[in-house]
Amino acid sequence: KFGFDAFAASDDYIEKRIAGMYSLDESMAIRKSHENPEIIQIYKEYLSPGEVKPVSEKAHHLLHTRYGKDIPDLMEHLKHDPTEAA
Amino acid sequence: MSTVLSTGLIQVTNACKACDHCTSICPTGAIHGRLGQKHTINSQKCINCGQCLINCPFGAIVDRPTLDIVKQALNDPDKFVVVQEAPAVRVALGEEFGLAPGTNVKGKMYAALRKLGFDQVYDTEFSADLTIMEEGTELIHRIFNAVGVEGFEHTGPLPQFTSCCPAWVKYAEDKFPHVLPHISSAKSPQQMFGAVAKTYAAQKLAVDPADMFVVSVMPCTAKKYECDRPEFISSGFKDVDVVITTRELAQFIKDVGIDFLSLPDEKADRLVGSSTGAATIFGVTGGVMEAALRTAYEILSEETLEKVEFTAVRGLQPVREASVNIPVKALGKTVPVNVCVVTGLKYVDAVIEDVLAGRSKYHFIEVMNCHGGCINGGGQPIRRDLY
Repeated sequence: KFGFDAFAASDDYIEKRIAGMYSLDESMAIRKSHENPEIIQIYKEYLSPGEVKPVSEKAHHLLHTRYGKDIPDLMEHLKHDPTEAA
Repeated sequence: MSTVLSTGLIQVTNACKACDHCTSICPTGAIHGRLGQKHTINSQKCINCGQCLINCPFGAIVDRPTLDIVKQALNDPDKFVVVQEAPAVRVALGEEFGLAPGTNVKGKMYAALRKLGFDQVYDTEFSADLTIMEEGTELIHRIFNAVGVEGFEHTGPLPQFTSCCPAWVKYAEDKFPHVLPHISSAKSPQQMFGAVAKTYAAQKLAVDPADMFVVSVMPCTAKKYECDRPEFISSGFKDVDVVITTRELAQFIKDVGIDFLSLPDEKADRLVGSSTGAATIFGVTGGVMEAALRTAYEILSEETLEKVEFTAVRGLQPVREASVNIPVKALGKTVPVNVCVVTGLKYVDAVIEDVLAGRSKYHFIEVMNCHGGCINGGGQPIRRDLY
C-alpha cells in the first residue's frame, strides 16, 4: 500500500523528539511533581489551606470531571455551586 | 488552503488526491471515500487526533484554524491574556525554524510568547505536576479501597486509566461507555490550568477572571475539541478560551517577523509556571506513568527514590507492562503495582476487554492515542520532508 511505507519512514523524528524530552527531564533541577514549590504553594494557600491534601473539596471542584452520561449532572452541579471566584 | 465548509474540527480539503492513506491511519474508521474518490470525515466518529492530517502526503487535511481568535484577544486592551504551553511543544517548535527534531527551545518559546504580547507566560508543566498530585492520589485511594482499607469506599474501580488524552477519552465515551468509571476523574493538565488560572491566579494577580483570556499552545488538535467541551466551566467561566497548535504558534512568530533563533532564553512567569522533569515527560508515551510512579512511590513508601527513572515503561512498543514493588508504610507491607502503557488506540481494545471481563491484572493503565505520545500529536510540525 502506498501509505504504509510513508508512515514507517516517519519514526526517526519521533525518536528524536522523545530523546529531547528525556534529556530535558534529566536537566531539570526538580524531577518529581510533589517537590514542585508552586504545587506545594497552591495546596497550602488555596486548594487545601494549611496543608498539601490532594482531592480536597476545592481540588475536586476545580480539578476533577465526569464522563459520558454523567456530564449533565456535573453541569447542573456547577451551575448551582459556583466557585467563590476572586 | 481550500475552503472548508462543514463543521468538523478536522476536514479534508479539495486538495485530496484520494490516495486512501488516511483511512489506513484513522483509529476509528471515521474517514470515508473509496480509492480515487475525494474523502470526507464523519465528525461524530472522528476523535480529532489529527493523525490523518500530519500523515497526509498531499497536505490535504486541515484542522480548524484558531490563530485569529488569539490575535484578536491580544489586540483587545480590556483582556488579560495568559498562555500555557504543553511539554511536547518545546522539543518540536524549533523544527519550524530549521532546527533538528528534539531540540529544546523552551527558553526561546517563552521569549517569543512575551514578545507576542501575552500578559503572563505560564506553563502546562505546572498543571501536569498538579495532575500527578490529583490522579496519583486518586490511584492510591482506589488501591486502598481494593485492599479493604476503611474510608475509601467511595472511590472508583481498578484498574485506573489515565485521562490526559482527549482523543482517548472521546474514544472511550463513544465506544466503551462501561469503562468510563475506570478513567481517572482528574482533568487533563490543559483543563486544570484553565480552572486554576481563572480562580487562584486571577485572585493572586488581582485580575477580574471575566477579563482573563486563557490561551493554550498544544501539540494536539483534539485539545481544540477538549477546551470547547461544555462542562469545562468550573472557574465560573470557560476555563480555557482557545487552543492553537505548535504549527500555529510558529506561524504567529513568523507573521510578526520575530527572529526566533536569535531570541534569548527566558523563563516562565512564576505562580503557575514552575515545572519538574516529571511534568516534562508527560509529552511522551509512558511519561505520565513514570511521573505518577515517581510520586506514588515516594508518598507511599515515605522513602526517597535513589533512581527516579522507571525505564521499563519507556519505548515505542504499542503495549508495554511493568510491575513495581512499593513498600507501603501505612499498610506495613510491600504491594506490587502492575502498570500498562498503550500508545495507539488500535491496541487498546484488547486491554479494555480484559478490564471489562474482570481478568485484568493491572492497577494503572496509561493510554495515549498518538504513536510515541504527544510529541507526535496532530498539532505538531509536519515532517513531509522525510517522505
